[in-house]
Amino acid sequence: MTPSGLAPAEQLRAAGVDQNQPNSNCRRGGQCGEEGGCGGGSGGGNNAGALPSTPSPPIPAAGTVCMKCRKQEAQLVARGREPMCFPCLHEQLLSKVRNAVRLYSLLLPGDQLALAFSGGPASATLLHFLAELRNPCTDRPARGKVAFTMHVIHIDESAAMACIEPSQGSTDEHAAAGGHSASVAAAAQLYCHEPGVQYHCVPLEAVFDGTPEAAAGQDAAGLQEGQDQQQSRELQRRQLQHLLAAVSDTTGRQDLVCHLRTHLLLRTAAALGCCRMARGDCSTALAARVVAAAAKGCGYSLAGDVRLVDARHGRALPPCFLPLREVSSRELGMLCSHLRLPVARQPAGVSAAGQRAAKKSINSLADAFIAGMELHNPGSVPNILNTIAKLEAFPWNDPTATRTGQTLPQQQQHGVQQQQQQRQQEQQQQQHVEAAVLCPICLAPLADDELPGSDSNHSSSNSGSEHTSGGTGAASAAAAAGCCLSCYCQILGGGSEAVVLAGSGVAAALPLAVSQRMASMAMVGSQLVAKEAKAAVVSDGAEPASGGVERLRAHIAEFLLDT
Amino acid sequence: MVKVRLEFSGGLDLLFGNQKAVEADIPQQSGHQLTVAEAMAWARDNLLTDRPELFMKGSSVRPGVLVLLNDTDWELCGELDALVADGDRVTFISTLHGG
Amino acid sequence: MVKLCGHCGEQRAVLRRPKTFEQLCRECFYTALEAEVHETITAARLFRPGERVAVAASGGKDSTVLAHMLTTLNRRHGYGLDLFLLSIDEGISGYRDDSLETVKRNEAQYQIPLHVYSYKDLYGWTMDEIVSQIGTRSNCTFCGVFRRQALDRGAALVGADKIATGHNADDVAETVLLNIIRGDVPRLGRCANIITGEDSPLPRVKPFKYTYEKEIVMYAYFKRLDYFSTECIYAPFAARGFAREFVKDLEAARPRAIVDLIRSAEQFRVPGRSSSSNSSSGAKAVVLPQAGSCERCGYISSQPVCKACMLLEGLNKGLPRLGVTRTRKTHKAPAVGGPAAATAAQLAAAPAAAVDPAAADLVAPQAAGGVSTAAAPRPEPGMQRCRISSCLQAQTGAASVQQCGFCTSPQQPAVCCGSGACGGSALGSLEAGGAPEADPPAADHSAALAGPGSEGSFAYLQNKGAIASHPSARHAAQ
Repeated sequence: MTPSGLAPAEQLRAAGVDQNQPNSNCRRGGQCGEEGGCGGGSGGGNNAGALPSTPSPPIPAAGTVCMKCRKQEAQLVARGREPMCFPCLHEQLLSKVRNAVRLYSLLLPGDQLALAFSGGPASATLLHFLAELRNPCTDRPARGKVAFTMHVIHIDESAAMACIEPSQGSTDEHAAAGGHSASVAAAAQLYCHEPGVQYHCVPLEAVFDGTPEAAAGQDAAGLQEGQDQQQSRELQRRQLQHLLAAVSDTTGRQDLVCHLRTHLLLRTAAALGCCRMARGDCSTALAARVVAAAAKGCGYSLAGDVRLVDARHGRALPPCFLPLREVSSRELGMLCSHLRLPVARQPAGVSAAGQRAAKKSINSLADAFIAGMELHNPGSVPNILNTIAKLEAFPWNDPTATRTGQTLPQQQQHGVQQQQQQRQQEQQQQQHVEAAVLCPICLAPLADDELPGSDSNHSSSNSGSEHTSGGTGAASAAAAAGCCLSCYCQILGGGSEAVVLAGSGVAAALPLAVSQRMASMAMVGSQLVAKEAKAAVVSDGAEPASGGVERLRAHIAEFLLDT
Repeated sequence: MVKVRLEFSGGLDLLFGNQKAVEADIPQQSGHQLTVAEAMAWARDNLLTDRPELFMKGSSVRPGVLVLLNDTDWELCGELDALVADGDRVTFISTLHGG
Repeated sequence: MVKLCGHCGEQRAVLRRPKTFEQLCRECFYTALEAEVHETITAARLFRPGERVAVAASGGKDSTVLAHMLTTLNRRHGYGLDLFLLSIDEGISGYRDDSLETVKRNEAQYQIPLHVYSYKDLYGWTMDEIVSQIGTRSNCTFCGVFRRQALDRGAALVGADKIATGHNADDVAETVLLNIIRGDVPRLGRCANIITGEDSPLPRVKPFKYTYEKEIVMYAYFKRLDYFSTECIYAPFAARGFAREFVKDLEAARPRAIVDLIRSAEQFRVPGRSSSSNSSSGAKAVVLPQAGSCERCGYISSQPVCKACMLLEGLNKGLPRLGVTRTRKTHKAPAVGGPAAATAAQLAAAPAAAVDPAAADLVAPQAAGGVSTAAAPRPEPGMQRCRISSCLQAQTGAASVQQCGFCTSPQQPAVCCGSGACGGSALGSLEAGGAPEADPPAADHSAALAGPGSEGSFAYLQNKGAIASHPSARHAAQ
């Protein structure tokens, strides 16, 4: 019972928190902040009238027994074929998370964990699971639990919502968006009143802050906000809206919001001293992201986005892990409903008129495609992810790379001090983890032809990539701008006539940290090109070493580490 | 009424009673010029013999069907809002077949 | 308001190019498109002077425009190629006749010789004869196997050095998507290659790899090129139709998405593919196992006798089942019924030109013809008939992993991949628009499209009574 005397469920409902409507089609398991374009079939998916009545999710025939415990009656069908009862589903999913944590020592006593929290079903479930795995008492070990502290971080995107859909009843949208962050806070409260779990709400515009500490210290709803802070927030909101308005492509705008959110999450987590970040991306969302990424030309980088561990930033920012990556949004939705976990109602979606007027985004089309595929061919989602899992991962996907040699569950019996020593060792070791060359905007690893200075390395003209990169030299232009090809085209607007004429207002409007990084990359590129040109003049005929790209990457990585 | 010549190819003729071209009189709302969208809807409602979903999706043409207005790509004319006048030709070409 | 061509500024613009959004008049469009294809050909070094190139011709839009384009460019830029048209006739009356007429007209129009090989020529049997001999049960089996080899055999008979197919950017993009869905990583690594089977005696090239379908159609339209279009049949709930729909929606949302999909495929970090090579002519990917040749006909085969020869032997001996099925338990295919003509109609209705510009590794784009890879096919120790569509699917040594006998994608036991490559009987009726009696197979089949990894299908479970589904069932959680 909470202090107000209402039952928790009632209280939450009063706060606008919806407990029984899992948005099972939501791409990020609820973490989307974009126009509610994930219509899951209505948004441009398969509306062909000849569709037979879509098969509804199966329910077990009466009298079927749960295949796990063989005692209770089955209440649902998981993964298309396994009749199960809810407690067993809960245990199955919780074990997945527990095993991943244990196997790779993702969490050790004394760790500070950041949790990216959107308020959707996936976030809510992840928070619930992590709370189950958490030992609240630091001095007394509990079996199967780890004594870590948790920082639940929510990024408030209300300032961006107005830009995603500017024309439709903006005041209503604003109000709804503001209400959304309150309902997210309420959703998290169930766990955040415990000691060792803290809730942070950071506004997206904080990505324009100069220092990470400033960002971490803000509480958007805090009464302590002074006039100055309010004014600078207002300024930042305008900056954000100006930036988003400068992006002409709908998908590009949605993706930019996502990238900024990721930047802010990581920075906030780092500022809070977190050594890990957990994200609730579910399999459905990941499959949609894979398809969308493929359609944006990101085939090189997408292999790194679907793994358990993502340590691409090396020492600079905390590594992420995705414990729910094998769980479908449907299962999460069912579990949330069953456990009556508080889930924040998603912000209002696109109105019908808006839908016709605006071109659909690649993201919403991918969501609808996956939803349709999964409905008619269950198992599509795991298939897609298995395929991508067979592609070569990146070195920073290696879950053991962030740990010293022997890491075994027995170690958890040792004292806290030893754990801390291990953490320190690990941090030192991360220096040796290969620093990836990433796009400053979307943080994707750059493909060979996107590396700054790569034209110096091209011996044979690669006209294939000329065609696919939208005309001559677009990949080089992207490298010269200091970002990846996809961001260059859809965010900076490169390669499109209209924006070339308008000039790139986007690059100038990006947060300082990002644009500085882009400038460094561009500088590296021009230096390397100049060096190669000189070398070619001096020596007679440059030999295009096939190891050339590897050397190039090493050069760039070194350079970036120094700056 | 607007006299429009509607042409179908790329397999679409099969949906319109095997006709490759139809001279149609399409009624227009008074005080309002006929648009391509309206002409399409009229064709679907009055000429189509089979499987409307292979011709139109929602209020627009099915993706994969090209539309030409007087032999000009409709993207240059305003797509759905392009105006159709007396004597114009609207051509629908389906690309969704083997090659 | 008349818009002027963005290139010459004189003529009226008639088209907006999807990749560049340029607005061009007819003449400038022709020039631009031809220049682009020429650039593709030269940059990827698709041809060498003096080569004999067979243009796979079905009479459809892609192959017609390809023939036209290659003839034009060959002359204009002096490629020095010996071009000819190659067409395959399955011997299905009422279907193939029209498209063959088109190809014959092409021969006259482009002044390049046409060679038509029929199943009769290559195997001694037409499809009509096969059907009359064995009925409508496993005719698809025969057609699929024969079709797969026919282009290769025909080209070899004519002494071709290369086969040029008309696969366009949209086709390749769709295939990339399908391979992601199907879990076929080696294929994924190869499907966007502009040359496939580089090491084989008969490589296949795709000069239209970066050319948008819209532009091919518009080129043909404006130039009044003659082509035959078959009925567009894309049952929305078949995986291939679904992917196709998605690609088209993507194109509408962002035209460059199609080439971006191709770029992604070129950039995938496929194990075994050299990571520093992004070239479009693609990877010397995974080295395929060396296959031997059939002792009867010499075609590539891992068995002493290749599939086609085995089937032929059966036909000739009046043992139609020989080579069709080897398992004891043969599941009955769902009743399709109808006389041979109906079957022919079904085959006709099955997606598109039976002999598409068939390409090595594309998962039967739009076509029911599962044409094989010129590269070595997978080992086929045994064949088992799919209990859903009655097409063949192969079995590898390992009990758990099986492969579709046509597209060789890994599949769950006893059920084929559903690609329709085999023109399987139930699938045939499905694609023809779903006759009422096809409903149960439809449900089965869509469940059967679940990929490897799920050990059963809805249908299977339904039969077992383990699950029930009612349309009005509310979500279990509620």
